[in-house]
Amino acid sequence: MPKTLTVNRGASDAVRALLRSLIEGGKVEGVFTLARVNNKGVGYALIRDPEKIEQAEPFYPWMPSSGGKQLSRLVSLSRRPRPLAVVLRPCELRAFVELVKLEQCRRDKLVLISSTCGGVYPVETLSDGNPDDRVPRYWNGLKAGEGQPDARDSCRACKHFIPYNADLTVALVGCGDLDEKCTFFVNSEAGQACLEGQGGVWGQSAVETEATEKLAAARDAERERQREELHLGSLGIEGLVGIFGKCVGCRSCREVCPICYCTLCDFDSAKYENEPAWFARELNSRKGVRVPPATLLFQMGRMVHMSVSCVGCGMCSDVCPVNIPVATLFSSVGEANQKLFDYVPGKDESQKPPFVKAELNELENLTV
Amino acid sequence: MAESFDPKILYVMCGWCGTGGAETASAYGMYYPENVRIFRVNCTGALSTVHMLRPLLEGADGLVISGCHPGDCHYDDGNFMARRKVALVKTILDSLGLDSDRLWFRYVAHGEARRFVDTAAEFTDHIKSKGPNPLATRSDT
Ligand code: SF4
Ligand code: SF4
Ligand code: SF4
Repeated sequence: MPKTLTVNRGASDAVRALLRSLIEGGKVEGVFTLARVNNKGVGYALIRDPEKIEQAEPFYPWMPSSGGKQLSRLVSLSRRPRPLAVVLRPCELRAFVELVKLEQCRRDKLVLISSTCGGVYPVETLSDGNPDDRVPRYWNGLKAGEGQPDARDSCRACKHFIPYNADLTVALVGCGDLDEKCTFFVNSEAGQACLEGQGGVWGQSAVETEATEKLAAARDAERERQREELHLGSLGIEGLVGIFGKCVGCRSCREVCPICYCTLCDFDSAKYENEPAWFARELNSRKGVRVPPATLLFQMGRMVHMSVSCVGCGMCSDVCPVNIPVATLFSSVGEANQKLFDYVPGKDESQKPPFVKAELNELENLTV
Repeated sequence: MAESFDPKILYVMCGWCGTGGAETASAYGMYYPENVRIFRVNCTGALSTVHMLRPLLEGADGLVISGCHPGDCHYDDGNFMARRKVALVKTILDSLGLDSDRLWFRYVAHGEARRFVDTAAEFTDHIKSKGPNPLATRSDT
């Protein structure tokens, strides 16, 4: 069971105070967290000025972009001279760990802080009048260990809401006293070093509680319901065309996906720039062609490229302009091939991603 | 109907073993069905998953891949990487309710001329009995 430190402050305040002291004490060079932008909405920010920490909103219930993807771009592959403190949601942290494993960035010199997660609202609601109406409702839900009915589909169906690989985990789900108290769970030496000198009461307990188990069960049921609603078990060609038929080909789902890290996506490369002769050939063989062409090829191509690492964050569904449930589909397909390779993306830092190394004795029933 | 269906089959083979099998077959004057189009890659492990998917979406009725027997790969584990990729593509097809049995993976060694022509014929019969690939002829995908 991990060591814990409980402080007499509300959760967001406690994390702000910790971040501030890390900067002031010179333990980190800066912090990476959600922060208020012009007092309207939030965005990810890199902060060094201790005074600006007041604007940090580490647990604000929106995800304007995947923090895992943004962080990976900041820390790339060269060594950082000094550490950064980072606050991410569990799925963002998983995405970041996947990107480390896929050799897109480095894990070292980072203090990773995460929390048990109640989910986020769809990003479009961030600008619909007064988004802060949703904030008190969100925190009350957390205290009761419940998610919000209008949270993202993928959040309502998420089972990995207790972070893996965080140096420090802040308990939020089911914490009735989170306005007055905050408990940090220490998962590593780096996490321990951060808390040295902080006031509070030390203890020891498990981050999993009755409340987290209850929430996990509710989300399992919701995930099944969503998949049944989309008939994911028996889509077939008609079902797929039905779902992706309205795709406008904007590629937003890929742009925001933390796992799609490619600088030039295969599907934007020259090999898909079709010559007039190609269209003529399609007219001949298929008697017609969808425009833009190759929608299913793009969607299924993205599935074969990245779904084994899909963390189910829901960014893709959130930005789709025509409301295609991209994430429900990708995480369901992803889960099938994650099961095949006994792999949970972003969980075990030492387990190689499935397409780095194959084994001699596996998949023996595949050959005909 | 079944008689008039001449399936388009793509046969992807490794440049070492499968191609050797095909050469041995030609040296012995063996016959394989003419609708089978051979596509040579340096190693089946170098074949990308999109290369497996694209023919099935854009025109082929079936795709068969043959690599070296376990332990024979010139690049150590290329055939096992291919096997993983095939498993991935099949799993994705299955979980979308599409036909994953239009994709085959088999080991064929350099000297196995008979096995190569048999595979080509067997796969052609298999695809003939299935009929045309419904995905490849749609104009709304
Ligand atoms: S496919 Fe969608 S749900 Fe999966 S990691 Fe990418 S953005 Fe997140
Ligand atoms: S779809 Fe494939 S090539 Fe395109 S960005 Fe994603 S992983 Fe890269
Ligand atoms: S975001 Fe939606 S419309 Fe745009 S490419 Fe993705 S699925 Fe298609």
